[in-house]
Amino acid sequence: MSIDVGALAPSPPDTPAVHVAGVSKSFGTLPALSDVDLRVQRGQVYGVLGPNGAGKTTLLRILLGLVHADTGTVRVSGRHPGAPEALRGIGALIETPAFVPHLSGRTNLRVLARARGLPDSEVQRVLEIVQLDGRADDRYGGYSLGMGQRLGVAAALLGRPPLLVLDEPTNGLDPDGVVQMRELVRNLGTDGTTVLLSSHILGEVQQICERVVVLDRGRTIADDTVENLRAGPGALTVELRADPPAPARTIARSRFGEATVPESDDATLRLHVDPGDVPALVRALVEGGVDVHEVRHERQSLEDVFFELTRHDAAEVRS
Amino acid sequence: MIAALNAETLLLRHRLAPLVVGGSWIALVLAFAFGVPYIVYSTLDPDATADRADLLETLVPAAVDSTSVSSYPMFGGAIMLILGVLVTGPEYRWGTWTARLSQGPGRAQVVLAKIAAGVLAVIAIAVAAAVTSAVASAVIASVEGEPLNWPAPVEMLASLGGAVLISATWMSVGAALGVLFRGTSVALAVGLVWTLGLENAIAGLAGVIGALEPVRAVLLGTASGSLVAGLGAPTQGDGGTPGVVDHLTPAAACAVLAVYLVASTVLAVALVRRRDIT
Repeated sequence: MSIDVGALAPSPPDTPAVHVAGVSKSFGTLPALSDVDLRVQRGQVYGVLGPNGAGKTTLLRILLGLVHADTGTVRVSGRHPGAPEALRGIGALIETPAFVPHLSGRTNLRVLARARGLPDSEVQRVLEIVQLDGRADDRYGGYSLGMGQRLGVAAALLGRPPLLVLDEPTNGLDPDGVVQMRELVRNLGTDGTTVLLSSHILGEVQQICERVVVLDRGRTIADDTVENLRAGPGALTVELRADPPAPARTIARSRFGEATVPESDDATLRLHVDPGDVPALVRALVEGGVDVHEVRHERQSLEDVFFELTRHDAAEVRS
Repeated sequence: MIAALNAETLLLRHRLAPLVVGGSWIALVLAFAFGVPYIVYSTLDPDATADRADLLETLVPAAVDSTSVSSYPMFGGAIMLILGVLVTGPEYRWGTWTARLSQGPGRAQVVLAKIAAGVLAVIAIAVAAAVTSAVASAVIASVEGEPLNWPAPVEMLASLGGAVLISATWMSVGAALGVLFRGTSVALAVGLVWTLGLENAIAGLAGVIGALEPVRAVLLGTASGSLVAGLGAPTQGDGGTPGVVDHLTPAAACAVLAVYLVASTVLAVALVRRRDIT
C-alpha cells in the first residue's frame, strides 16, 4: 500500500524541481501574476518574498495545480502541476492550515496519509518531528494557532516529499517553535530536500535560503542568491561616530559627495562608501580637528534589500 | 483511485453526518412504514375486517420488500440529498479542499472517491434500514399471530437494489449541489426546495397541463416513485405512501435514475476540475 516517493521520480536528475516561465494569472480583472519566471534546482532552499498581495501564494498554488495559470509554462519535477505524479512528490503548507475541526489531529493526518497510500506509522513519524504527538488525539478544533501550524507542517512532511512548499510556516509559532522550524527547514535542505519557503520574517529567510525571488504586484523584481542581493548597491554602510558632527559631515561630503552622506539627527554619520576609503577619511577628519570615537561596518540585511527593492518598485509604479 | 477512496471512506467513517442521516432515516422508516400504520391498524374498528386485513398485509414479513422501500421516493430522497450535500459542502467551510487536492490523487479521483464513499454509506444505510424493517415486520407478525413468510431472496435483493439506486442517485445530486454552491446552506435550501416543492408542483400540475407530462417523466421523484411501484409498493393513488407513482416502467425509472447519477457526478467532477482552489 505504501508509495515510495523516490520511485515515482523517473525524470532526469538535472530536471529542475520547479520551472516556471512567463506565467501570468488574473482573477477576473485583477492581475495576480504577470510574466513570472522561476527556476529552482533540486536541493535548493529558495525563498519567495513579497509584500501582501504580491502574488506569492498564487504562485505556490499554481505549482500545486490548485490554481490554473492563464499563460506560461509550469513544470514541477518535469511534470504538469497538479498531475498525480507531481503532487506525490510535493508536501505543502499553503497559508493557514485547514483540517476537519471535529476530528483529531492524528485522524486528519491519517486521512491525508491514506490519500498518499502511506501507512499510519508515517503519521506517527511526522507528529514526532513537529513535537505534536502528545496532543495528536485532541480535536483539531481545540488546537491553538501554533499547534495548527505544526499539524500543517506535519501534513507537508508526510511521505518525505522531495519538494516542500511552505507558505509562512512559522506563523503563530512561539519563539521555541520558530527556532525548531528554522532548524527543521535547514536540516531538510541539508538532506537534499528542495524547499520553497515564503515568509515575511526576512531574517529567517536570510538565515535559511540560498536564493530568493522577490515579487511585487505580481511581477518579479529580483531573483538572485541572498549573498548577491546583500552585496548589491548600498551593500555596506560605514557608521562613524565623530565629535563635533557638523564639521565631520562637511569633511565627509567634500570627499564623497552629498548623496553619499545623508543627514542624521545624531552624532553618527552613516556613509555608503567603499570600505577602502575609510582610513583616508578618518585621517582627514582628525586633521580637520574632529575626534573619531568609533568606526563600524554594517552589512545590509535582506530586509534592507527587500525594502529598497519594493520601495523603488512602488515609486516606479506611481511615476 | 483506491488511495483516494481509502482516504474518503476513513474521513466519512469518522464524521457524524452518515450516522445522523442514517439514524434519522431508519427512525423515519420505522415510524412511518411500520409504527404509524400499526397504530392505525390497532385503532381501526374491529368490525372493519377488510381494512384491517389490507393494512396488516403491508406490515408482515411477506410484504417487507415493498413496504421498506416505499418511503424512499419522497422522504428518503430528501434525506439522502442532505447526506450528499454533507459529503462535499463542508470542505468549503473548513477550507480543506487545498489539502485534499494536493496529496496525489487527481481532482477527478478525489471527487469520484467522495461520491463513491457516499455510495458506500448509502448502501450501509439501506442495508440497516432493510434489516430494521425485517425485524419490525417480524415483531408485528409475532404479536398478531401471523406466519413469518418472507419474500423470495431475489425480491429482497431487488428491493435493496432499488433502495440503493434511489439513495445513491439523490446522494450524488446532493454532492453535486454542495460543489455547485460551494457549501452546505444554499445547496440544502435549493435541494430541498427542488425536492419537496418544485418536483411536487410539476408532478401535480402535469395532471391538468398535458404539456408538463414529459417533464414529469424525467423528474427524480417520478423515477424514484415509479421504481418503488415496480417493486410492488401500492401507489399513492391506491392509498400507498406519498411519492409512489406508476408514471414510468421500472426499466425507464432505472434509466432516468442512472442518468441523474452519472450527470450529477460528471457535474461535480467538472466543477472541481475547472475551478481554481483559492
